[in-house]
Amino acid sequence: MLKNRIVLTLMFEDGILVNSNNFILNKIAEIKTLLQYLDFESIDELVLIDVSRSNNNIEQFCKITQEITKECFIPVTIGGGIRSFEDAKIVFNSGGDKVIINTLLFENEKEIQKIANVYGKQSIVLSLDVKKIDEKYYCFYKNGTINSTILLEGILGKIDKLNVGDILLRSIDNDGKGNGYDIELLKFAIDLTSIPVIIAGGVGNFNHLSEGIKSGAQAVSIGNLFHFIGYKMNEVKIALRNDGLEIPSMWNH
Amino acid sequence: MKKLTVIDYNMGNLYSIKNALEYLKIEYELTDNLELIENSKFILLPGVGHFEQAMKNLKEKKIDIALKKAIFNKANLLGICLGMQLLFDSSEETDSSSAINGLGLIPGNVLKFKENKNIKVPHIGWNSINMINKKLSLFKNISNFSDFYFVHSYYLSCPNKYILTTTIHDINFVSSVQNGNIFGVQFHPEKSHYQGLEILKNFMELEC
Repeated sequence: MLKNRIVLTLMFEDGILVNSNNFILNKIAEIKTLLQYLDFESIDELVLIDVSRSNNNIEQFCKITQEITKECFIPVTIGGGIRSFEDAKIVFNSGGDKVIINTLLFENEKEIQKIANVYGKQSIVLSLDVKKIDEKYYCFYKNGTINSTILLEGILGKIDKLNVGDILLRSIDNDGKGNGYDIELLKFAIDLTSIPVIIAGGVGNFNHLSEGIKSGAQAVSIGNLFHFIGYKMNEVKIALRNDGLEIPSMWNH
Repeated sequence: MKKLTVIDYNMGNLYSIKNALEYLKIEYELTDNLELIENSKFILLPGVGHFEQAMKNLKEKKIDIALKKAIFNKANLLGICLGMQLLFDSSEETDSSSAINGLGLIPGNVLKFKENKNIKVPHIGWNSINMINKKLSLFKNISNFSDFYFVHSYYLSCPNKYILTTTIHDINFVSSVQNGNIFGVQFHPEKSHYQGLEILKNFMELEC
């Protein structure tokens, strides 16, 4: 049976690792510092996002991702600033298995189809950055800075036509708070689509990961928390497996 | 020192394979040179994409014949993902109405997964293997039920005697095979953590 997976999401602004709080960024480490403590053993997928507010340059960002993934033997998803088929091609040629799309959906939807035609829909992850306003879920783009004014159900309603393989569902409200995923948002989304959902934003302890999977997420993303407990992830994974969750095994465990 | 010949026939991106081989310090050459292939002792046949296109590329470059000569010369061959499927008699992955022929190095056929309410196609993600044959040189040091990373829409069906491991995705399908010196894995060892790297290492430790 296919396993649920733990996804590590790392974000970078101008080449520096950042953490995010309601999508507001704080620089926390240089790449070389990150590489000293980064251990891929206990994660199942790596997501690397360039959240630079200006001068998004995917070619330059891929040089960084190549440095990070040199000793990383798990699927890698790369995004942030993908504006065209050509940008996606750079990602795949740099070792990316999947590309993240967000702004493209709102500015140039046709390009998504072009990417799917060549690389397959399983290689596209659609990031939906959602904020709750007046009890409604609105989708934002450009790193959460612009409200598309399109409701989440509007996008999920036509998602089968979009040809994407996964949805990265990010709660702007819960991002960085450590109070757990927005489970209400998660349940709302999975009711409307059969595409696997990676839930992101708000994880603060390990029970939150468990809660995400038990609530129907195919995968759970961990970001800020990892910056503080990185090396203890092994223990987390063993604990979650002991808790009965179907997540991938680790080498020699 | 043992050297690995990686077949280059324009099917998919080899970035991750190269990255893994470099990490493992396995000496390799990426090539479509027929003489080199025929005289290799260790051959890796990678591949992502469409079966029919892959066979066309192999035939155009006459790599299909070179591979058969290499096997005759007792080379060890490892097919990964589509590269594994190509080793068999036929596949349903074709634009024509009848199945298309593969390399025919191992008896068996490649069939399409049928999507239903229990499963999604492609089969993509981490899934575990069930070892059918317990004396597995390719799976040395790897525990039964370990997880590997899969991405595919077609699966292999072949006689039991060639099956090393099976995996469940609604149906129980063949996830790795062996016929003498010829090996194949449906999953991506280069994307499957240390258990995946171990497969590549074990392959290079085979006798030649």
